[in-house]
Amino acid sequence: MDLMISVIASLFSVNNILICALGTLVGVIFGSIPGLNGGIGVAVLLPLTYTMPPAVGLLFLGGIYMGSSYGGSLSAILINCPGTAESSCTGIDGNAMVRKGRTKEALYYSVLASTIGGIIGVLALIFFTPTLAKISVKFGPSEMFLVTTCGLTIVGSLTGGKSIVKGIFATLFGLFLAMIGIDEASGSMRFTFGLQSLVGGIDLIPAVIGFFALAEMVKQAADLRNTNSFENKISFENIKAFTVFKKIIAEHWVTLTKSSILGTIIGLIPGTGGAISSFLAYGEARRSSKNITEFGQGDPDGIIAPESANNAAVGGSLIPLLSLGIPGSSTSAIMFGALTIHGLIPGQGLFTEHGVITYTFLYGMLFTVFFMLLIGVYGIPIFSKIINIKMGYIIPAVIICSLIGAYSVRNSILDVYIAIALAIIGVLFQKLGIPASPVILGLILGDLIESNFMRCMVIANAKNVHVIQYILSSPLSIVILLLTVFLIYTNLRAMLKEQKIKANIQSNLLSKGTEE
Amino acid sequence: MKNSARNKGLFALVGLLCLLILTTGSTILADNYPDKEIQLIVPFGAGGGTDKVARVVANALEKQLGKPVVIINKTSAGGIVGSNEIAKAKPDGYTLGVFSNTDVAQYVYAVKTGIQFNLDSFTYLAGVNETGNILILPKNSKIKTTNDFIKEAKKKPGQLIVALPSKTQSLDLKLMEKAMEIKVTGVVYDGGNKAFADLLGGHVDAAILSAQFSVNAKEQGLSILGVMLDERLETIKEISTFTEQGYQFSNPAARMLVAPKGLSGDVVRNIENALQKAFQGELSQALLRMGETPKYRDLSTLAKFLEKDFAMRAELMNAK
Repeated sequence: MDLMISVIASLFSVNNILICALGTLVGVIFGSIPGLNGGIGVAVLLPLTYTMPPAVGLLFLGGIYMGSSYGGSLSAILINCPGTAESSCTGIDGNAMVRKGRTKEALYYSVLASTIGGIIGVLALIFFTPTLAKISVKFGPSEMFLVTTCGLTIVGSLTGGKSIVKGIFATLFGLFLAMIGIDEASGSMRFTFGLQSLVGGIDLIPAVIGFFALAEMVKQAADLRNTNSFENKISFENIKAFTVFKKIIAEHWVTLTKSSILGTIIGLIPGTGGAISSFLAYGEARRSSKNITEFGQGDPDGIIAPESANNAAVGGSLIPLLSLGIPGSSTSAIMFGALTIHGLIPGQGLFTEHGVITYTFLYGMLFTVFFMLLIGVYGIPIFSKIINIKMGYIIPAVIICSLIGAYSVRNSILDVYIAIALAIIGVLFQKLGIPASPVILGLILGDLIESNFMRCMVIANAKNVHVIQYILSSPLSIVILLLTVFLIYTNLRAMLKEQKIKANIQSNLLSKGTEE
Repeated sequence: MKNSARNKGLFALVGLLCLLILTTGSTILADNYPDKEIQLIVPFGAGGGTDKVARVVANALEKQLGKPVVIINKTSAGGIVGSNEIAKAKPDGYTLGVFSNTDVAQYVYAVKTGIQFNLDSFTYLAGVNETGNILILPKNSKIKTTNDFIKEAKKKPGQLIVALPSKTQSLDLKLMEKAMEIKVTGVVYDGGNKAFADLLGGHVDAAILSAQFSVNAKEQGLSILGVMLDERLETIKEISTFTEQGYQFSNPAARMLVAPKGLSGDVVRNIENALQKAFQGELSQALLRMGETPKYRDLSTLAKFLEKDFAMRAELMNAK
């Protein structure tokens, strides 16, 4: 009882509420600028929290984390440049909706999905941490290998109905990018072409910046002279947040729930995070979509799935951090630093000795979700005006921010060059009709797949069993494998169905033509 | 007409002047070190062992020097990329770094590829702690004592799996194997946290982690078989050393504040003074709270320690 009273008292202190709101706002801003993201925000502002009371400091960082997971969708939807890797998929349907004049609707879908996803993740954190934490460590080398390989199967959904061959090529290209650099286990250089600058390999963020933001800006710049460009035709629909909310509950609650839970679980797994969650949720939503041909053209599910998943992953990734001291994502790893500075050791003690601080943080995360909702809903009239700004002004601004962002990841000018090089390749891919998101997927998963497979090989070799036998030796592994097979099968089926539907539409058009 | 040309000229002159002042400003004011923020490069990921120590040290330095000390994580290639950056930085005292003696020796003596430095490329400013590695067992392990561990290993040579936070700890593994006359298999992870995660999940039979993890291990109820040093560590006084248990091997590590070589005497003195005061203040407490054993070695003490330490490592790694 005493604990509850202290928690409520510290939760509702003016200081706490202000800083929490500020953190969330900073997070949204960082997320929305291509090139910056939550991880950078938390890393840079971490020292600011040293002088704050522990719970307030943690909530400031938590707010940045939560806010940035939503913020990325703003630029993804409005200018088709994901502000963060977590929103790589949101722009596909999000920007399509904008081009159909449904800007505000898309933005409302995004903030509402982010809110509900965020709530589910935080509720899991508050009520199920002990159980879920145990699940997170069940993912050893074999399970991680299978999960990440399974993740590759969603490439089918990312090809946008175009050639699956091109999608596979894009994924393989992403895997190739992941291999560049020094291999720690053997010390050998791979694909560095003798360049010192490539020893560190290709980081995710410069790749997202190059492939998505910069390439997209080049494309838009090329389109500028085109008087048919959509920006002249944008009109604003008059739609209320509550209407969209009702639509979500009525028509999209399945996607929302599935994606939020998926996001929480993926967030739990150490080494993954919001980006992988959003990709997997998007792929799954597309695979199980009833209007598969609509997907990619402005289907709300295409926004709801990734956005709810990446916000749910925030709560999810904090679960193993607080209970076991194992960060579930790179951003939560930085928050680990905040815990240490305040002398807080993850584990049981956090919930007993430091109960007030911990529970204030846990329940306070709900505040961050609430502030994110406020910022999103009340900001939408302002955000949507961005569409009206001439592309000619947006393009240079985005390019500058992106290049700065690319530099800030590892404080390395090399990352800027890498981003530019990948932008050129990205434009080339666009011309060739090769989709960009599988490349990012391959890049994210490549390292995890390989390093975990290597561990499986070492362990299997030590135990004198075949590596396949080792990989299948745990029940969880078998479950994941069956799931992978199931997903490949249904993905193929969905793709064939889509091809058939498209062929039907085409033949109908043709026959109508001949009739006339 | 003439006016606008003159105005343009003035602008250019003022601009040039500003540019000159900004770029040379730092050298003009060099004797007021530090007069701007200091960057502390950490070659490892945020939230990891080195990073956490670096942040605590940065915080303390900032209080003493009065200017921000900013942590920059430059990861990749097991710490080599970040170490390259430290070695190549300008030796003006505004770029410093943190790594351990074990790391840099590993790169120079064992890895050798991809590095743009040798042991002389750095100014070893101070040692901030002393630490060693501990052998931790998963929760429901059948093994209860070191003797059990050795028996198990001898029964199934090479089949016991030991998690390592990075390639650097393969040295500890080899030393342990030699002293205990056993053969086990080491599996390299991407940092102590990931190795600890798989230990908790029971996917490995043991883990070699830095003493910092003793706090987490105790919190989770895991047993620690021993510490790989000649003398017990203050923070884990109850854990006996393997030497005491009869297995003579020791791999002492110290996390160090470093800088590129060629730092001016003034700058070095400034940093030394700041660190000394920090240690007399709160830095020791902060390190103890996170499970680290503080030990301040100043420039000359550290140099003597490293002379012997690097020589020992050269022998060990080349005798592999």
